Amino acid sequence: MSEHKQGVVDALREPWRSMLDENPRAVRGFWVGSLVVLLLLAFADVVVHHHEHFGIDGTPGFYSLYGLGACVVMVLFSKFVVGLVLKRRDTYYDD
Amino acid sequence: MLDIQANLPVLVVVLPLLGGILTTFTGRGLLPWAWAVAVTGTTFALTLRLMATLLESGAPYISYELGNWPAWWGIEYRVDLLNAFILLVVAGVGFVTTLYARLSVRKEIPEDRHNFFYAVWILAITGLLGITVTGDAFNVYVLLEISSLTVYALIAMGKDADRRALTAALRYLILGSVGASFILLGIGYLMMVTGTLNMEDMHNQLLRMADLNEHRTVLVAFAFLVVGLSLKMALYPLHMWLPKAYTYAPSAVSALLAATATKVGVYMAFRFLFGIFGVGFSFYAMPSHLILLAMASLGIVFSSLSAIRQTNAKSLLAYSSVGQIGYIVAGFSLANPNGVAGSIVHIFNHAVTKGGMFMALGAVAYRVGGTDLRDLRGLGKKMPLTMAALALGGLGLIGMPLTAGFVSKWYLVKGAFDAGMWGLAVVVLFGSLLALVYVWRLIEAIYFQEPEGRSAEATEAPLSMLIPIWILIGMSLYFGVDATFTGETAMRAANGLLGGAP
Amino acid sequence: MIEFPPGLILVLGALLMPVVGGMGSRVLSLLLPLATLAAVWMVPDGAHVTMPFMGDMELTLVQWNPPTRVFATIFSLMAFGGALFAFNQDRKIELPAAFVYAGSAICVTFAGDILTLFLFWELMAVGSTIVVFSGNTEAAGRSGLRYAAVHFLGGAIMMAGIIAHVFALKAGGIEHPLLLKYFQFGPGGFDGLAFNGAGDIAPFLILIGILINAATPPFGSWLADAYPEASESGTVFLSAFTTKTSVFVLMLLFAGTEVLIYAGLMMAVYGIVYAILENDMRRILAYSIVNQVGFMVCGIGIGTEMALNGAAAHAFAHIIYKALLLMSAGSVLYMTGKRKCTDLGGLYHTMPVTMWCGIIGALAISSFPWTSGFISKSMISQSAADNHLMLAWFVLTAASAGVFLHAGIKFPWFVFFQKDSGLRPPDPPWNMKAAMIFFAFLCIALGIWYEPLYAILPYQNAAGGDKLYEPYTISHVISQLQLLLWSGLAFFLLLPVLKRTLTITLDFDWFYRTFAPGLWRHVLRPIVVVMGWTRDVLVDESKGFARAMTRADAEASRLSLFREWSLGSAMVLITFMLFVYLVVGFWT
Repeated sequence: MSEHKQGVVDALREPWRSMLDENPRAVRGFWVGSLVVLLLLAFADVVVHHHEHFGIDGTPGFYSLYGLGACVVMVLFSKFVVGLVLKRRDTYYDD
Repeated sequence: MLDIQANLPVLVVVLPLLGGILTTFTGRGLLPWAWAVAVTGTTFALTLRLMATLLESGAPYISYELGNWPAWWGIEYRVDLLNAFILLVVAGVGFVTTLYARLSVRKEIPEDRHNFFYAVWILAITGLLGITVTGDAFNVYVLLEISSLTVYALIAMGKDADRRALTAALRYLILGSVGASFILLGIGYLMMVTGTLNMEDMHNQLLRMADLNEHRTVLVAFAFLVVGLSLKMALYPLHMWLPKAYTYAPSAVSALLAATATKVGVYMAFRFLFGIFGVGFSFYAMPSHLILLAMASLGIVFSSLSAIRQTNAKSLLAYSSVGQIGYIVAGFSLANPNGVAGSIVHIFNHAVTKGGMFMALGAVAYRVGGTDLRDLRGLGKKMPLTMAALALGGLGLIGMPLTAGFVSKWYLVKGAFDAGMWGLAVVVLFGSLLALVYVWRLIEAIYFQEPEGRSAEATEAPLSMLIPIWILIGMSLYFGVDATFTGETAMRAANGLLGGAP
Repeated sequence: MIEFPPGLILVLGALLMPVVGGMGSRVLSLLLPLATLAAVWMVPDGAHVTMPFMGDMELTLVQWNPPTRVFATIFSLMAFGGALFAFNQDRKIELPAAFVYAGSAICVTFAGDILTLFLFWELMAVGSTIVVFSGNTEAAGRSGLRYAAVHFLGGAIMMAGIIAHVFALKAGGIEHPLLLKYFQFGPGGFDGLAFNGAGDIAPFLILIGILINAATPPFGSWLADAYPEASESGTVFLSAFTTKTSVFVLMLLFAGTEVLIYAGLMMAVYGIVYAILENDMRRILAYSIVNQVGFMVCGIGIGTEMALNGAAAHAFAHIIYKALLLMSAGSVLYMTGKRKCTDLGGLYHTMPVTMWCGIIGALAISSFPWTSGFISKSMISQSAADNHLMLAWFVLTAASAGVFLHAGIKFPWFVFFQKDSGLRPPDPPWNMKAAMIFFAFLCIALGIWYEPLYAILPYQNAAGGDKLYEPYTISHVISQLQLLLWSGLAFFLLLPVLKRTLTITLDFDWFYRTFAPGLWRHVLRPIVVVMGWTRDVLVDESKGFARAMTRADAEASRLSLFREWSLGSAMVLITFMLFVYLVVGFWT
């Protein structure tokens, strides 16, 4: 279980590696700051009321979750449905 | 004192006829060319004057009886808006190509034959003008022979540059003679039935016949004439003489022929189908418009496909000419005002565009020594002005807006819709796409490849060539933007034709 | 006063530029767009300039259509920004061609009749094709040919529709059937799908012609095919005019046509999906053009005055930030010569100006509050909500989140951050920086001082009150930030999945790039060859059946259809034709 978890964290760290090597504090600062802002925004709905047009869109937290969910769905759809069918090497037309 | 004004219709033929014969005595050097310029220039001025006189008089036509014999006995020259317009095209292009010819001819034809060349050249123009101006069916045949024989000779004179010009000329001679004799046979049968050679008279006599639509002799005459004319105007699939002839003729001759020869063939078709047989017979009693439309459509598609496959730029343009004849024939086969006007307008537009393009290729032959697509490589940098003219002409062939080609296609498509022929509109637009492909082949060679071999040393064409080239290409652009004169004239001429007047 | 189409200043000035040459033409390149902008604003309110054409027709060259002011203004501004960005490049043809292209786009906005519109529409195609060619690589040449073919096909379809409609109008006894007002199909254009005559198909043909230019899938693959092949500055110009002119024309002719809502939604999603998979940085941005134009098309489909205002405003804002993004990508390409995300990264070290301008563009395209995208795009979503278009609203909202993902973060992240590519290029020359800073300034300025833009929107009474639209409510700002930043979180969580690969994604252009040639090579050509054989066998008896069948491949593949006629067969053919006419004549 812990090994698997280690794998996910590593995978998440991987894209940041060269920047982590260079300036680890800035990267950590960026992450911590971002998470704080994200949480603040998510809980802002307690104070701010959104006008609802379709019932669900007035629910607190709707926009945060919808943004996150829609993006995850779109990425997975493009990578694993469209990409699987239509992706080719980038020299495809040159041959 | 000779009254020029009153004798204009005959002067446009007699003057170049005499001028042409006299050219044989001009000896060597610059004189034959200068004389030819003078003769064709004066002739052009006369045709302008003729057009102006016609427009001023406001009459539907000017009639001139040769030797003052009454029309039905003697020969009548008759000028209406249609042939005044074609005369302008032929004489105008004839004049501009003559201006252009000097250096090109000096390079491609040995000097001791220049006087002979220009003599034949002027006589060819004379024949074409004569066919256009006369109102007598037999006279058409005589003048057709004059123009044909001279044209065979002109093509054969390409032999010093390329021996294949001889076989091309022979081929044209054989097929052209077949065409001419078909026309003669047709005229003969018509005379048998009507007892006259005057076109208007023929028309009136035919109309008087109650059994016209079943009359076997008339049908045979019609069949011979249509096939003979199709050969002369190089309507697909009877175009087999044209590509080789245009390719191997001397450069100046290609330009002159491409702009005028087949166009006069089309004019004859106008006179015979609309003028003599009449719209009712040609297009309603006989389903010939369907056959013509089919040939025209096949021609547009297949000759454009052939053009795409050519490796010589002159053959490419030659095949493209066959396709453009397809547009012209398709237009008048519709037998409605927009279609016929499109046809007439395209005669003019294609004459200036293709004439200009062939002259540009002549300049390439002059500077580079050949007109293979390989020879055009990279000339965009070496001969920018000539190549720009060629490219702009190419846009005209595609029918790009703001070029003359667009105006013609606009009328043609309108005509097709008037007649409810959706298919033809599609063919016309599809033809434009094919034209895009073959013009692209030119442009690719000119602008996207590096000069190589003999084209690497080429320099810009001399001014004496550039000016005539740009006169024609400039006109094709000007009349693409302001098509008022060409459009209105064509429309009026079309209405005249459809009204049935010969 | 101005008595001619202002766009002509650019078109004709462009022709002057190669003649002047050198420094003079560079100065001209900056002055002409400014002169055009001034001229646009000096056209009097009731202007109506006409010109006779081809005898019996009349062209209306200048007339104020409702959205003209917005589009003509931004087109002129764009020409200026693009010229500034291109100031230091020395390709002689590109900039004049781009000016002809921009100028004719401006002329389209002033057109008062369908023919004028169409003429300049086609001139745009010519200008833009030359701009693509000016990329001056073999790929650009091939791509440019495909580009030209698609656009002229589109033009032909549109022209067929125009002519069909003109005839329907003429048959209805209308005296001036070219006037634009007869072409405003709107929602009614597609009512009653009965095909009674030629006129009924016209709206479809015209719509298809426009949608081809708007890059709507499946007609839209030319955009991602051609734009990334143009030069750095060429792409900046290309991004601005063709699709936005289509938006303008759609707004004029097809406002409120329901099918456009779905077309727009499809474009918005298509752009995101393809951009996510893409590796070439400028192609990512090209796909996001399709995505953004999808918002505008959807707004036009909704068709209320507020939605149309939104689409116009969004076109205005979009041109600026998209040009800015492409300038940023163009600077990177110009300084490094590399265009694939896999080759780039870590450029923040040495290209700070390019990076910050790119980020501002990215924020604007994602509609962050206080940027130009925020004050324009929200009008469209709001109209979807006001009209209870549930599907439209949910897809648009998801697409807004997706924009941030694919263009807002992905582009800067992979180009300027992520792994260090080791490249250390400096910022580009001053004029490129100046152009970027100017447009970055506009992105922010429009986000804050949006009133001047709102004041020139087409429908000033849309809201009924004195205020057209108020973008900055607390609820709106907060919900937008939530949507965007949480989708940003999705990006970073999914980064391992989004790893760059050396791939492209097939699009509709596969049909004409691979399928059609393959069809020709493997199916049609064999048929033609066999037909040719058959003909040889039938016509050319002397050669015999056996020889025709055993002929060498090389010889057989020379299509017999195109061979030169021998004199003998020519005679046979002539006789045959005569026979045909005789038979037909005697039978009827």
